[in-house]
Amino acid sequence: MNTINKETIVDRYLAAVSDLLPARLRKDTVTEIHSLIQDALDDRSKVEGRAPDEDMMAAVLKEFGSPEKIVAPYLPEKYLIGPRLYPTFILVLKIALPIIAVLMLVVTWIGVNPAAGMTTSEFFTDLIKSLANTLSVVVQAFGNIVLIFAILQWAIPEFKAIPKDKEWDPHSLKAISQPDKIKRGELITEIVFTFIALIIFNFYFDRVGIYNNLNGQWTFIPILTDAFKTYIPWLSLLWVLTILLDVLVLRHGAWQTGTRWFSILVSALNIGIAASLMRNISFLYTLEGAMGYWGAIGILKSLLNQFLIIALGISIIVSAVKIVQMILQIVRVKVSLPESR
Amino acid sequence: MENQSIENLILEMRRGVITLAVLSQCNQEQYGYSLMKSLSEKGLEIDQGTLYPLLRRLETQGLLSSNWRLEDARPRRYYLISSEGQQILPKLVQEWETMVKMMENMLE
Repeated sequence: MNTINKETIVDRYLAAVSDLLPARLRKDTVTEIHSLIQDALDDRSKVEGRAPDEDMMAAVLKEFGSPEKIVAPYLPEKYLIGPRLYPTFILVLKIALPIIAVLMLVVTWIGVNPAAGMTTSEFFTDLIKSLANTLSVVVQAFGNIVLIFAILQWAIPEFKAIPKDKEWDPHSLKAISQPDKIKRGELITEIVFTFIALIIFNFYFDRVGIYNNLNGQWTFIPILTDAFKTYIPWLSLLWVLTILLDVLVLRHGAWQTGTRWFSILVSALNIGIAASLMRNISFLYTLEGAMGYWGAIGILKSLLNQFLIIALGISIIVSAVKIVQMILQIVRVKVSLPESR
Repeated sequence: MENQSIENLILEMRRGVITLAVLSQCNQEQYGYSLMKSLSEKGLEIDQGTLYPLLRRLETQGLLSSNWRLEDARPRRYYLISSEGQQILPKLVQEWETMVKMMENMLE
């Protein structure tokens, strides 16, 4: 066969190899691999006693392996995000994405229709829109975080190297975390205060308001409206479940998979109720009866609304973080179970 | 599956001695294919994908030097141990002998 005029399978192989190599390595490496192929063909030709042909070339190339395989060892290891940055990258994702997701859910949910009295179909349309917006923003945030870390990886030479052993100090080791360990004091305090809230809002709802001693005379101004009253069954359910969860955890003496799922349910319920309270915050209380004490009721209510929205927002974020933590612990337990058995 | 695991373990063990084997064979000028054949004849099978990048690495580390030469209108890259490589080789050989003795003691 004519190997000068006709494109051979080796030429095609070398072209494919060339395409996979960076420009600075291309010429030298392709020449080297070509030389090696020719040597291998010469050797085989001598052994078989015939001139190299297409079949022989194919057999030699098969021994060499695919262009991707032959090129791989020549290429330096490349990372979009290297081992030195990866743990920080994961940490940032774990913190940023749940917070962004919860904030987006809250913001879109509030922004959809602040007025009460929507139909069921409107409610579900708004809900789907809210979820779609949240998903879109979370994906964008993920992409941006990856981009920032990829730029850091590319721009800062320090991140390209594995940390040297001499830089490491054994004293820098973190204490072993005990995610199953419970904090009895916190749980008991939560039970006590939740129980008090449950009693007050269910049995003394009408006594919640502003008390004032004027010239030795006690006056009382109720502030909670009937709109707030509609939340009492939901709040009571949340508080009963919270107390039940705390009692279960105290009884077991440690967090378990079942109580973690229970905690996720309670946190999700808390997010739902808090988001709904945020949407209707203006209707839940009134300061009209306090006109005698404060002149600028409008400004006061506006400030109070903002304060309550921030407080509820914080409560939502804390619950979202708790859900993420609980899910991570459940996954960790599932992954570590086969090893511990 | 078991055979595959054994093969992988053997491959891992061999990988550790390839550098010493290659350096020891480069006291005379060798081009890639001749070096591969030489190693194969002495019982060490090594594929192209491992040998050439290793030769490059040893050259970058200053333990080998290389030059291109035309032979029968064909370019060939010849490798030769450098002066730095010549200084290091006896130390590696000594270390290898120590390891062999240590392993013999362990496996007795």
